[in-house]
Amino acid sequence: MKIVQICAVSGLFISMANAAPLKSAVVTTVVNDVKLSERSEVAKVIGTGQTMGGSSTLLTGRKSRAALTFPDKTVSRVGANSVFRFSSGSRDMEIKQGSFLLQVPKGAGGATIRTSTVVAGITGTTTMMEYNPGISLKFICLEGTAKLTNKKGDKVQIPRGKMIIMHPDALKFPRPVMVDVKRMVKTSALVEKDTFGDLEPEAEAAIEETIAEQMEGKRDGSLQAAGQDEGGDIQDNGRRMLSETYSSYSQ
Amino acid sequence: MHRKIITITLLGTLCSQADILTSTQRFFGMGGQIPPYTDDGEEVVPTALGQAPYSPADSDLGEQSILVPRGESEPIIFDFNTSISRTDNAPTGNPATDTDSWISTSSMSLTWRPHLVYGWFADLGLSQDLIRYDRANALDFENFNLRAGVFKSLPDLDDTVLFARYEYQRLTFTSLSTGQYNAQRIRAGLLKTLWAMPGHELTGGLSGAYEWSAHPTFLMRNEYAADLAYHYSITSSLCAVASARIARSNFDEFGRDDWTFGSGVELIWQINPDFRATTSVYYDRNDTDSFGNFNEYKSWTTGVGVGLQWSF
Repeated sequence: MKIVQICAVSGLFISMANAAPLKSAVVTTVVNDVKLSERSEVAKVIGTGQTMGGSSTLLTGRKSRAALTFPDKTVSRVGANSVFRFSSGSRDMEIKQGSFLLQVPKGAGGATIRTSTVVAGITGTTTMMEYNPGISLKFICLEGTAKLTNKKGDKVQIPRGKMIIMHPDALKFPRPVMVDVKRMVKTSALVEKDTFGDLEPEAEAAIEETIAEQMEGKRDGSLQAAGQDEGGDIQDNGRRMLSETYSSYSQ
Repeated sequence: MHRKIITITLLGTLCSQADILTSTQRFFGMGGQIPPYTDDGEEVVPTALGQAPYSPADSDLGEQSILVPRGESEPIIFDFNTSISRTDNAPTGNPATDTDSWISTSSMSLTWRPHLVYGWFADLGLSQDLIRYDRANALDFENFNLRAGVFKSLPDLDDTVLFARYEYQRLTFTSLSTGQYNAQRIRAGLLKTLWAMPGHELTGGLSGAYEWSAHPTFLMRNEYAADLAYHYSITSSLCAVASARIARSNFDEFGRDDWTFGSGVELIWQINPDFRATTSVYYDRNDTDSFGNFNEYKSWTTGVGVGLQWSF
């Protein structure tokens, strides 16, 4: 009985420790032009191994990317031309513009991603997001589930394998659409293993589950690529017919 | 001063937008093509190529192919197309007298692709085309095609589509009741998207056709073909297609071998989901080793057309 109590108390402490606010992150990958700006100071070039505090803003330039790892193994990979920061003492992250991948381990207490108009709440999830203020917002859930809330309080749940494509100022969320996760992770610079290495094994396995589910849907015919013209004709039939007929009859 | 600031700001925005583009993306003119994302909560529909609309960080996010659940029942698709073209080489039955001409083409087709079992789909269709030349000595003709086959997409082979079908073709010359040429064949092949990114798609295909019946019999042949098509979705309603096809035909009699090459560019304006307008230019060429190279031809064809498609 005592052992059970000790285990329960230990579990509670571990859980509380995991849900602890984010105070700093270590820069684990730097590609090309990555800078850190401390409040009003001029942005300085940074390298791997440096620590980013909550009052800092990470800026990436053209063809530049960076990865941050938090003490609870939460990983944030920031894409090109992005402005990213997190609030020390909370689990809030903010993307001013650009793109990033966020992987929060299960049981780590989740995280909140803020833009000026949309807030995404995630727990134990791997997501990608692109935000262009006043122009476009894309949010993809590679595994797990995320919930988006806009300024008006409208909410939408995004399950794994789905993506939302919208105007960031939209008062109503459009319906999420399914995106081919296998193709996406194969071609995404933010998932590229050569640059960033592997994600957490649990996250990798969960993404593989999403892919397997979609593959099975494509195999059994319940899912298809939008706009796919199957059946084997590539060229315009009418023109091909003319050409074939011509050569058929030429004698 | 204001204008200078605006110009600098604009240049800065454009530069930062172009920053993440690869040289290939720049070559294809990807910069500055963010489509209008509506702010009224309406769904942003995928492009004609089934991709999410372009946004500047697409290279970071990766290819965004949209998947859709297949409906309970597949619709029958009716397609009608009519076009007016100009060719520099209208067939007259004697290559020596081939001539330039206007061509009017009208085509109607019905297609049905119902799901059979575990990702296998039927491919059933028939079409009738009427081709008319304005030159009196050019050969007006009609072309009837019927096909019945199956196809399957193989996600484990990177979404390669395999297909096999029976085809019946019948040509008539201004008399739908009197057939001048007919053939029955089995065509099989594969189709694959070789490269895709938002707004762009390169598709390749290989196919072989085995003919076991033809009238006249000396036109019976087997065909081996390779196709390539590049689709560029310029806007959500405007698409350009560049395509090329090379085919080798082995005729059963006289050991005749033909090489047929066709390529061209077509611009398709999808006015609304039902109606489209097209303009195209194509080059076709047939090389043969038959006696006197009698079956060789080259032709340029350019024209405009309109079409409609209904599903029910």
